[in-house]
Amino acid sequence: MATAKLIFNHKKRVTRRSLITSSENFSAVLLLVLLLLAGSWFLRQGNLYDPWERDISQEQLLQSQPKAALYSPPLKLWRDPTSPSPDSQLDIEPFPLHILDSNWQPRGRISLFEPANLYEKINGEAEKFIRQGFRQLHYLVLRSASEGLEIAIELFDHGDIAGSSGIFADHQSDSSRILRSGPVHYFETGVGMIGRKGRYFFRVAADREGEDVKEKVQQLLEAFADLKEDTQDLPLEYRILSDSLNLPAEAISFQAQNVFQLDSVEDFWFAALDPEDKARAFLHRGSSADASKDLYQAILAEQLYDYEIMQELEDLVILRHGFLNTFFIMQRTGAFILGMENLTEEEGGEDVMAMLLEGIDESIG
Amino acid sequence: MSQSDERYRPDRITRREALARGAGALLGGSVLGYLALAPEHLPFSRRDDTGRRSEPSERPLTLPDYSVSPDDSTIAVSIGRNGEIGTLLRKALDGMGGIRKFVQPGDVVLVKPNVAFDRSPNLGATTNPAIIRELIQLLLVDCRAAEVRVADNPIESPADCFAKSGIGKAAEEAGGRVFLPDGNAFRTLNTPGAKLIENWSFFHRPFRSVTKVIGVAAVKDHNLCSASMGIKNWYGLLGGKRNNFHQDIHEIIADLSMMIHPTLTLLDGTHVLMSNGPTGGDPSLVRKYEVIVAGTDQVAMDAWAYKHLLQRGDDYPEYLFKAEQRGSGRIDASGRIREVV
Repeated sequence: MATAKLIFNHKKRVTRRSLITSSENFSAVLLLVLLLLAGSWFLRQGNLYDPWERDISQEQLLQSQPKAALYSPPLKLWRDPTSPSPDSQLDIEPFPLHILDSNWQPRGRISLFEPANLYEKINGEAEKFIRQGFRQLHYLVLRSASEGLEIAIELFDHGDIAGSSGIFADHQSDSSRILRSGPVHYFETGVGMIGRKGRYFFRVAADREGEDVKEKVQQLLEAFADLKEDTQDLPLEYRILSDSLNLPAEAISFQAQNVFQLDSVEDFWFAALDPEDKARAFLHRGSSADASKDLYQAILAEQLYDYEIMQELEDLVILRHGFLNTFFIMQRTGAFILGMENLTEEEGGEDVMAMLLEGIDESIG
Repeated sequence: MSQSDERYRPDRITRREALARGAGALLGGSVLGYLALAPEHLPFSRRDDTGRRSEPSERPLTLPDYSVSPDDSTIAVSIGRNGEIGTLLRKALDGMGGIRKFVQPGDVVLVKPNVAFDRSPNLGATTNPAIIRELIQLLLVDCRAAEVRVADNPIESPADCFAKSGIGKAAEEAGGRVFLPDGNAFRTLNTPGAKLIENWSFFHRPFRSVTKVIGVAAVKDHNLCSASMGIKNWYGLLGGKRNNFHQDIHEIIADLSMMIHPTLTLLDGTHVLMSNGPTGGDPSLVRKYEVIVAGTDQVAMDAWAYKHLLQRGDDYPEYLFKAEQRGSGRIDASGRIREVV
């Protein structure tokens, strides 16, 4: 008979089995009961959650929870920064508000750049600034309503005077005439100026030269003197050079890297003794006397490629350049390395070295 | 037998067939389940948690060779000296056999100036806009070009850069069409043999249906690579995170020498930023010459400008040697250079 070979009947859902064992019935009922019990337990739990019953302590949970701001101050009302309202309450921090007047108003908003995105402003040059401790750049363009002229202002915050003086020195050329206006040191560029004040370095460039530009640049100069700065101690090396040699701030600069054109030599302060002369005193403070001793030896080894030894004591050496015949004096005392470069006479640096040593002694008590 | 019984046809499936079908269904289900649910990193998985798998893939484009063999192929660099901008430009081009040897009537010409920064032209950070004006007029009037496009992808605001540099105004007044970049203007460009930009985002929109390409580069000091001249100018056509290339700047410039084969290259020797580049900021650092350089060998042109305009001697930047090794040109231009005074 054909139907005898079939496993399923033609409706495919009716079992052909006539007998179901009691063990099967029992286990089915048992599973159903367990399922109902589990479901009822689950439903009874509801939103009941007590951290004490969990394995993570209350303190741990409190520590790891995100800080919730229970109150957020309302947003400031937006206003178009280019709207020509001279009275305005424009927020142009950190620029002093009095750089604006009825004629000169900002073109667009202030742009802020940080080390991570400085390349968006000065691609290709960003590394130079970052090497000198760059922290922030505020960029503002002022437009003259009467002339249609624009002046771009770049204000770099280098964190301390070392960075700002280092990048300022990088921008100077042989023809740069350093001027001083109160706490601001600068040189004029024809279309503006480049300068520094404390930890700030700035570049101001107009579209073209002109009397109105000069007038505005002077006004900006006065405004930059009012730049707000946190009071901070001047670096020790700066104070030693400034006080011992009685030099103005514009004579002192910092070089973060590639000192003496040597890749491994970093963080030296320089003081130009005479604007007409290339001779410079230098000073470096190492992390320890041993570190400075190693650096002293490394510099000496490198300099011997170009210089010959005229005199050598334990921690003092006088070298003469093989072609230029200039003298290089270097001395180490404790963690300090001091000296002079580009001297035209061997004896020319004795007084300066003595003053520097005295300054170091006084500073370390 | 009743009528309903006659319609009834019992299922004749056998046990063996049922097992085979069941096994087949199980196997098919398992395969489909694997393809759909297996983690993405396993072979043949079609799972797409991030949606990246179903992203439309783009076929990289390649640029045609825009170069034209000049009549006198021995001359690779021509220097125009003494005169106003228009005169300098014509002298430089005449040394190469004249602009009409390179651009024919009906050509669509792309001019690529250096508009890198939001700087006024007197600071030497960008190409002199007067050269762009004169060049576009030459192309439209003398060569009867169908269209002249001017394009660059500055990293600062493109509109501000074109406005401040004066190049946008100069181009439009002369009859050119300025193309500013936006997010949809880029496509992946394939540069065979390039080490860093073999497949890289490229400012492609202005290149559609272009038949000739002319680079007009500023000559200036550069903080990282010593000098930015003709080859480095093409950097302005790259998109993406191109600032990362500054870690290996000589390699990327050598790649740029392979990326595009322009019809002509011009070097702006009228405002040369001698130091503190590439942005400058002090006009006293800009040296003014009455010189424009035209040529077809960018390597030789850059070497000449490095020595004679930037006055850096023979200590050429590393990227010129790399570009020479890759066959993009020859540093030594002796016998291939012509001066029109």
